[in-house]
Amino acid sequence: MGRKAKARISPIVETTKYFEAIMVGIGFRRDFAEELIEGSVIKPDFVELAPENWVGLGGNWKKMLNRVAEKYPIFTHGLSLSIGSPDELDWDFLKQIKNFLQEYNVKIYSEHLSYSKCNNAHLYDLLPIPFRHDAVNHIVNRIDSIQGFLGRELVLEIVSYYSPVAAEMDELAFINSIVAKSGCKLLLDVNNVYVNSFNHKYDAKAFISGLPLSEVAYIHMAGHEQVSEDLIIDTHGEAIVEPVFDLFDYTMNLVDNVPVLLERDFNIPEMEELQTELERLKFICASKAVRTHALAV
Amino acid sequence: MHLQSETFEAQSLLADYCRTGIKPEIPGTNKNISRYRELVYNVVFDTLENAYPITFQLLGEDKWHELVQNFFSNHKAQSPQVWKLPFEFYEYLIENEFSEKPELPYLKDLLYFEWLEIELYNMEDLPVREYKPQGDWLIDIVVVNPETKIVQFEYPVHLTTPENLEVNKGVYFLLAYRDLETREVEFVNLSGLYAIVVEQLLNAEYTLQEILDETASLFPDTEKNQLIEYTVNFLNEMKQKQFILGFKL
Repeated sequence: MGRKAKARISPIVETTKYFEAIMVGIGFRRDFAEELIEGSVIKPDFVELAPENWVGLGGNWKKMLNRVAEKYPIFTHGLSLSIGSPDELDWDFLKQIKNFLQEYNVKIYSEHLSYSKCNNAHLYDLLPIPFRHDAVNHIVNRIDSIQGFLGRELVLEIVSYYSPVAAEMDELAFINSIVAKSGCKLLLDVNNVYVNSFNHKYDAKAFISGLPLSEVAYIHMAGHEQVSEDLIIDTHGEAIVEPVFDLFDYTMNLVDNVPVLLERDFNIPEMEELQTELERLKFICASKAVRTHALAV
Repeated sequence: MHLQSETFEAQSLLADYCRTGIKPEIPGTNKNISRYRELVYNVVFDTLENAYPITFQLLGEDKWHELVQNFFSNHKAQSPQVWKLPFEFYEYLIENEFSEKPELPYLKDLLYFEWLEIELYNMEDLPVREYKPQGDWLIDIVVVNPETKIVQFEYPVHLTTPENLEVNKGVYFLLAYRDLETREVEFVNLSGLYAIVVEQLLNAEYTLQEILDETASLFPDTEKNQLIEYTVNFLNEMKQKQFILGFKL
């Protein structure tokens, strides 16, 4: 009976139903804060921000943050945790992050599988960690400490990188080892995988298939810029290109329904353009959900 | 730490290269490793340029590159929040006496003036003590906006254009506060007397009568009554500008 009843629902109604369950958000930028807070063109399901850019700020920034938090669920994507650093963890900083996550009822605290501090100096960008066995153990140990302190799972992003450094294993083995040993979750940045597959000449789909996909808790999508014949830089300054949409479509058939984020940090276009990208991402997610459901009934 | 020396060494070499621009042999890398130096340096350069637009324009791009390069090579940035880096830049230049160089005598004041606006605009909200809107200027304790700084400059960086700074070397006081309504930063040039008065009002321990009793001897050429009249007029003006909020309950 149940199967028969479900089969009578039209595909449009069915897709609409899944739309509601799918979360597609956007990176919160001060450049288009007012459009997000007061406007009606762009309609993300959540916004993501870097806590480092907001912790300890008052005045108009705090007012802006409170206004956006009233309207949207907040996800965070940190910049300065430096999980792969040889330096000690900065517990004062982590305490501030913990308070921020609590204050804004943050759903996901994600960070980068990279390092941005070394020899007691911050570098304010994401450097590639050597794909090495001792680095895996070092990071697993740190993830354990951080997860214990924060009382939540850390969601770590596969970063784009332009050169390996002193590697003794490949990227896939490195990521899989960390996830398996630490129990952390994975942020799968589909654009980063595309960029890395181009720069390091591997098959992006095979790479994604080889990941621990059941541990993917969050997905990022973004644009990039090809700066030479053999190099793409992950700029977040362009629209998502078709091959990355294709890779996203492929990915969504392999992972559970998890939140998806559109990152656009530079060359901000009209809000209509961003909304179109959000809708396309959502449609791909919904189509996948409908297909999965149809197979299940 | 679980890292072996080879791993630590590779990470350390890359990080130092990003800071200094001096490229070492980093094991197991390719030509694109140089992108990291560019990315890191660009973030630092842009952050500092955006924080100090007047100083940047005044010094020109080449000199600015020289200062940024010197700073980031030799200084270990401490804040995980990049917006605080410009203050570390300011401190570095002062500690290393760049402001003492003949061509940059007003660098210290100009940088701090530019930083002050960022610091106040971004600062955490401070609690405001309870107050009543009306009171007696002389015998009630005055309640002022707590999100305030008073600074002393040698050069009038808040008053005039850079070409007029050196000839006007002297002693200047600047009151900067974040308006509690608009949350914008406001600047007011202060005379020596008003700087002392405002500084004492910020302590919120003394009445204006007590402050002027202590201060009057510093201004022997001015009648006490005149001193009171001038100061009350100034405080009325500052109440209109919402720096003075009212009087202690």
